[in-house]
Parts: sequence; structure tokens; C-alpha cells
Amino acid sequence: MKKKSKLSQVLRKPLFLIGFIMLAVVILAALFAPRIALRDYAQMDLSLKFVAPCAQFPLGTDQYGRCIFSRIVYGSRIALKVGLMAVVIETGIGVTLGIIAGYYGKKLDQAIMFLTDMIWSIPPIILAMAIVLLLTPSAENVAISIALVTWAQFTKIVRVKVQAIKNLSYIQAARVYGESDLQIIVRYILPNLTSTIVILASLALPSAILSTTSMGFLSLGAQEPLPDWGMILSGGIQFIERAPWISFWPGVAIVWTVLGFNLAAEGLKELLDPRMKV
Amino acid sequence: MSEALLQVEHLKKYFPLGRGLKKNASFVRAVDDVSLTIAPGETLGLVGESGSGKTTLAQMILGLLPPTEGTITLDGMDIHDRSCRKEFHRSIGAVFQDPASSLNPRTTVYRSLERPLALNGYSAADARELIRETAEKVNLGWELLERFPHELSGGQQQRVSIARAIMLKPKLLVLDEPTSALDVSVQAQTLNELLDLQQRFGLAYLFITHNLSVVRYMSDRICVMYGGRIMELGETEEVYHRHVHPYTLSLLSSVPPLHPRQRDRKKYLLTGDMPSLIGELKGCRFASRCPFAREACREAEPPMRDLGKGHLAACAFAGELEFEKG
Amino acid sequence: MEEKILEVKDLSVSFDGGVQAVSGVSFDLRRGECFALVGESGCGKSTTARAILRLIRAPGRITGGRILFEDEELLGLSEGEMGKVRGRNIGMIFQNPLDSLNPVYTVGSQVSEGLMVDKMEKAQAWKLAADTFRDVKIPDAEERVRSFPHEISGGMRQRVMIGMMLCRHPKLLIADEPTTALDVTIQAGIIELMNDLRHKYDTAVLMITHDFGIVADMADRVGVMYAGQIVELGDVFTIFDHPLHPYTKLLMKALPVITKKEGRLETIPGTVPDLSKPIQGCRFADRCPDACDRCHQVSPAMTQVTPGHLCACHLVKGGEAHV
Repeated sequence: MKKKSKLSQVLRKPLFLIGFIMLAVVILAALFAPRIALRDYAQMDLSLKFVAPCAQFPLGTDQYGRCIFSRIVYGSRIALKVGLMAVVIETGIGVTLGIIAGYYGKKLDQAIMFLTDMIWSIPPIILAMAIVLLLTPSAENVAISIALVTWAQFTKIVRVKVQAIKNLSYIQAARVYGESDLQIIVRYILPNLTSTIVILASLALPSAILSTTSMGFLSLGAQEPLPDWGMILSGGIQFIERAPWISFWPGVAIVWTVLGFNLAAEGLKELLDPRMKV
Repeated sequence: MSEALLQVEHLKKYFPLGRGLKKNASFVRAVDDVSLTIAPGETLGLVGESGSGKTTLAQMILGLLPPTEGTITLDGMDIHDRSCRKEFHRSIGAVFQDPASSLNPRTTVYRSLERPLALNGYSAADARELIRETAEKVNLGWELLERFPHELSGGQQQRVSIARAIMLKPKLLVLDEPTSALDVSVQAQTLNELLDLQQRFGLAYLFITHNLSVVRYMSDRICVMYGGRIMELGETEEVYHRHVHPYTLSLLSSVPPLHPRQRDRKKYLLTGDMPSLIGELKGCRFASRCPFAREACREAEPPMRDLGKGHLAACAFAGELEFEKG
Repeated sequence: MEEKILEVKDLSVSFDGGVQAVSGVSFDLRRGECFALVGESGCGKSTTARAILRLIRAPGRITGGRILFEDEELLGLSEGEMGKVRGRNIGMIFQNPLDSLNPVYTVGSQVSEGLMVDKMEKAQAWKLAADTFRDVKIPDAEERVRSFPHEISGGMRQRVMIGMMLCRHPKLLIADEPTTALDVTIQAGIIELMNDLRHKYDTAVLMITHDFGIVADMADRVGVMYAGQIVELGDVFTIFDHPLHPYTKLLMKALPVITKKEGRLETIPGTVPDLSKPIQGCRFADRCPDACDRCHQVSPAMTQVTPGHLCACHLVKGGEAHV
């Protein structure tokens, strides 16, 4: 009951409510893309190129006569899929290393912290680009590369939390009655980390999506004819005077999604752990 | 003493100072060459100020910290022998200072008590029976067991911790300041219960505290630590009334009086801070604050002197100093 | 009769939700005297101390009573006037001195700042700060004034706090568990220091503690608190030799002063009553081994048993306990 009233309290703040609604729109678009889209995202018709927004093509068409609206609706799938994949992988790497560093300390801690600091000292987008080029550009590889450059923040925060938790008396007592290290981590430490991890992951998601579209803009992500928002945007730049809608609408979609996720993540943080600083 | 339950020999714990790849790093000598024994069913009181190394010592005995040097033998087994790991965990229990953080806040009290039993292969029904039995022993009502730790008072929380520690019938209980977070009336109750349990089940206690009245009430023997070393060790009344170490004297004369009449007693107050325990240490660790210190004290580490009846003191002039009684 | 400098009359403090943390507490302090309020956690002793300096924060509120400091009603002063009373006339030290010191200034500058409020020249204030450090027996005083709070030990910090309070020569010092966080050897030094300085400057001390040992070491008179009320009040020797209230008696017997071979400690059954609900009768009745019907119905008033010895118990009459 207490949880419920807290939820309604957060939802009553207009910004959070707007965030959750914006988020819902994106998720619904991704889930029901075939129903919402007006035609196939790859369907070309050169006789219909550069059509301005009208009743048949609400957001116009591109240089191949593809429907921008349909491409953007389908594009939400790519943005969400890559963003989620990236966050899952970075959470996995970051949390695991953070727990190991925080729990075992000493040499392992030093080694992991050295790695973390190194990752942190390289501009993430440049490192991510290098990794994608090494792996060949694709949506999956974008997710992997983003994960590989962003896990460090999880490690730092989780490590400090684990250091504080592991010395609590009940965990010491558990060690005395014979729990193994693995059991202690799984049974006692992880449950204490869940809200931190959820908050961190929800805050990492919008930036992962933004990175995804940036990579798409540089044609390092999903390849044609897949409708990556960043790629649609960059493809439209050369026609910006003739058909500004090609680049404008994917831009709106990106801003909408990132903003929506950010506002929602802030709301989630308020709900789970209002005092947490990230 | 061959029949000792716990035997600690030349135990040392040096914490390396500073991180990184520096070689020849210096060390904090938190525990430095400590040897002691606890007999079955006996209470050894361990007293000392913060920084004396008493908690580090306890953590090593509990197997929570690996010692730098020395051995710990519990009931004939080396506690770091992996082959008797299970046996070791069954033979020892711990109760810590802060009752609020001693129990997992996310599970009910019952679950907290059930877990050690599950680890030791008890079936749910057997565990239930044993929990009921143990709860009765420590005067915990059955209805309290379905609550969460934050719904209990400090005294009740501490009783759950005690129940958890004694459930598997260990031979030694390490009690690290178990009552210092409790009020006087609750403390009295907890101490009495601990004494009853000891009498009924022949438990041995290592009772760590900074409260000298509590330690006198609880202990058969008292061990006084300072700067990582044992200063004096002996039977309770012996240490209380016939102490020979100047540190024990200062510690005891610092205890507030029992009656305003004793206000003007002779006090041996300590000045200055505890010496740094970093690097090579020369001479007696207490010499810098000792009112009786002589040149020889600063030169050589005093040997442990045996004054008979198991009364030991690490003072070069043990038995020769004149203490004025309060 | 010596001059009273502080009189607390029927002080009541309640917190949000109707918790009566302090109800109807009355006591007084004479010039240069040490009065101890002793009791277990939650008995209202710290709240009483804070209420005197009007440091009770919302949702807490002083709901009744009077606080007279040198015959001036503190509860009637404006916040600005009250600010002048704090520090200059009444000083206060707390359990954790690290929370009371500003980490970014040296301890010397914090002591001299207090003096400069009293329109003292900076150089003179600094010199006086160093003198104060010598006064509170801090070794190497000239060096230590330039230390930051985290560079000195807990015992030293508490000495700094005492010096900071006493250098402005307040007439009353309120000490709220000043040694609870310290080791016994450090505690002994602080107590001795407070005893010395209080006689040297003729400062009255209101000592808040849970430790009867500290009471025995310092106090001239004692008030024993239970569940928001003073249940017994009197001269320290009287309270130690002839405690009358059942709670005081039990509490004294719960102190471990014996060995286990000599017997068991007295315990007090039950728990402290819930102060958020109205309580009928004596607040200790549920735990009192001698409670009678009357105890459960009528709240006992503080009555004088012998001159200066007051007790709130139906079973205690005219100097003799009916127990």
C-alpha cells in the first residue's frame, strides 16, 4: 500500500508523467510497428521520391520514395533493441566487475579499478567507433561496442556499495555460519544492489539509445535498408533544402525517445532511492 | 593446558599501508604476537580501547580475516584447514555489536534463523523444531519470529542474534560488544541470559568489550590488550584487585566510580594518544604513556612474565611497582 | 539557599503525531552546580536539554512550561535574542564533536570566532584561543590551534568543544552525553577536565547521561528520568544511598557491579510505554514489581520526601518507602 501511494506521488509530478507517456508511445510503436506503419519500411517507389508530407505519406518520402513515417515507426525497434542490448551487456559486465572488486578487494580490486580508469580516460564514442569498425558495422556490434565503453560507471558505483554492505554484521555472521562467498554475493549482496542497478540501467538506456543513433548517423550501425534513425537522418542531410522532412522527423523521434527515457528514469529513481546520487 | 578448546599461538595481523605497486610498504601492526587459550565452558573477557586490536583478533578467530602469521586451533582443528571447514563453522558462533545490522533486513526473523540450519542439511521440519526449541531458550516469543528485524526492539534483535549463534550447539561463542548498544536494563537481561545459556550448555565465550564492569560480571579470566599486544592476562579478580601492569591500572582507574564517595580516589589518567603501530616498534608499546616508564622500557620489548596461577603480564617491572589504591 | 540560575517549570515537548517526549519536567540549577539528568534511551533527557536552548526542530514543539534563565523567560525571547543567549550565556556540547565542528576551518579559528562575536580584536581572540587550548590541557596548544578537526583525535575534539564553550565564560554549560563516543581512558580525562574548569570558572553544568558512573563522578544533584518525566530528584549522595523510586532502585541493581559467582543482575521486565498514546496512571506501573491499583489509575505527582529529595511514586510517603 505504501508503495502504491509512492507511485502515484511520483506520477503526480507532471514531468515524470510526461516522461512515462512519451516512453509508452515509443514502446507501443516498437511493439505494434507492423500495425501502425502504413507500408513496408523498405518498399521503394522512385516515382514517389521527395513527396512532401501529405495524407498518403504523413511525414513524406525519401529519395527512394520510401515512407518516412513507416521507417521511423520500424526504426523504434532498432533503437530500443540496440539500446536494451547495450544496457544489458554493460550492466552485466559492470555489475560483475564491481562486485568482484568490492567484495574481494586487494589485488583484484586494484586490477579492475585500473581497467575502469583506463576505459574512463578514453572518449567513449571514439572508442566505440573503433570497436565497431573492428567487428564490422551492424546493429548487434553497435550494442556490444557501446556496452564495452560504458560499463565502467556501473563498476565504480557498485564497488563502493559492495564495500559498505559486505561489512554489515549480518553478512559477517553469515560467513561465520558457513555461507560461501558465492552464496553471500547472491543471497545477501545482490538483493541490496537491485534498486541501484535498476536506477543505473534506466539512466544508461537513453544515453545508449543516443549513442546508437550517433553510430547510425556515421553508418556504423544497422545497414540499409534497415531504418536506423541516425542513418535516415544522415541520409537526408544532402537533401535538406529540397526535402527537409527526411532529416527532421528522425531527429524528432530521437529527441522524443531520449527525453522520454530520461524523464522516466528520473521518476524511477525518485521512486526507488531518492537520495541516490549518480 | 592441553585441554584448551581454543588455542591461539603467536598470532599476528599486519595490514599493509598504502595501495599500489610500492614495494617495502609499511604495515600497521594491528595484532602483534598474541597467544591465548580458552578452556571449554570458560569465559575469557577481552578488554581494550579502540585500536587495541581486540576486534581484529576476534575476526581472525572467527575466520573472517586471514592472519599474517600464527595459528588458531579450535577443538583440535586448525581453523584454516579446508577439510574441516564445515566442522569449524558448526563449532563457532558470533554475536556482534549493532543489533540492528546483525539481521538481514529483507527476511523475517524465522528465515534468518532457518538459513544456517538449511546450510547444515536440516530438513524444514527439523529446522522448525530446533528453531522453536532455541527461541524458547533465549526467551523469544514464537510470534516474534514472523516479524522483520526492524519491527523488534534492540534487545529482541540481539536475542535473535544469540539464538542464531547457539542454534547449532557451537562450543565457542565470540561476543563482540554484544551489549554496548543496549540500555542498562536490557543489558542486564541479555547478560543474565548469556550466563544461563553458558551454564546449561557448557558454552565457552570470548567476550569482547570496553566496559570493565560488564567484563568483570561475565568473565572467568580477563585479557587486557593495548596496541595490538596482550598487556595482562589472568583470573578476573586477580586482574581486578592484584593487577601488576600499569596499563591495567590506568584502565581500571578510568572507570567511573560506583558511588559519589569515590570521587576523590587516586586516578592514573593517561595523557597523549595511542602510539602509532606503523613500522618497526621498539620497546614497550605503553612506555610513551606509562607513568612508571624507565629507560629500559623504551629500549627492549618487555617479556611476558608469569606471576603464577596463570597470571601473566607484559611489563618489565611487573610486581615491583607500587600502585596507590583509590 | 544559593541563587538559582536556571529554572525549568512543567516543561512539555511533543513531536508530530502526538508523541509526548517530555511531559511536565521541572528542575532547577544553582550557580556553579552540576545537575545530572540520567535515564535510558528515549526517556526525554536530550530533548529536555535541547528545549532549554530552544533547539527543538519541527516536527517537535515545546507545548508548555517555562524556562527561566536568571529570571528571564527564554521561551518569550525573539530568535535573535535567543541567539545571544546561546554561546554567550549558555554553552552546549554534544556527543559527537566532529558534527559540531566545521571541517573547513582550523579549530583555533573556530574558537576565536566565537570570541570575536563578543567584539574582541582578532589578534587578541587568537591569543585567547591558544590560552583556552592550554586551559583544556591540549598538548602543544600553539601548534594545535592550526589543526583542522579531522587531524585531531576524538578526545581532543571534545576538549576543543569544551574550550570553545568555556572561553566565553557562560554561566551554564549543557553537556549532552559528551563522553559516550569516547574510550574510558579518554572519558576519565574529559570528566576531570570538566570538573576542574567548572570549579575554576564557577560554571553550572547540566549533564545529560545514561551512565550512573558519570553521575557519581560529577553531579551534585540528580534527576532520574523515565518515559518523559522526572521520577526522582535529589542530592547525588541521597540518590545513591537511599533511592526511593522503584525504577531508580531497579536501574541501580541492573548495573553490573558484581561477578557472576556473586549472583545475577536485577532486570526490569517489560518495555517502555508507547508515548504516542495517552497513559493513565504511573508510567512505570506496568513494569513496577510493586504496582497497586492506584498506580494504574492516578499519575503520581512529584512530592518532597525529605528536603531536596523528590519522588513521584504512590508507594513512597514522608521519607519512608512502603516497599
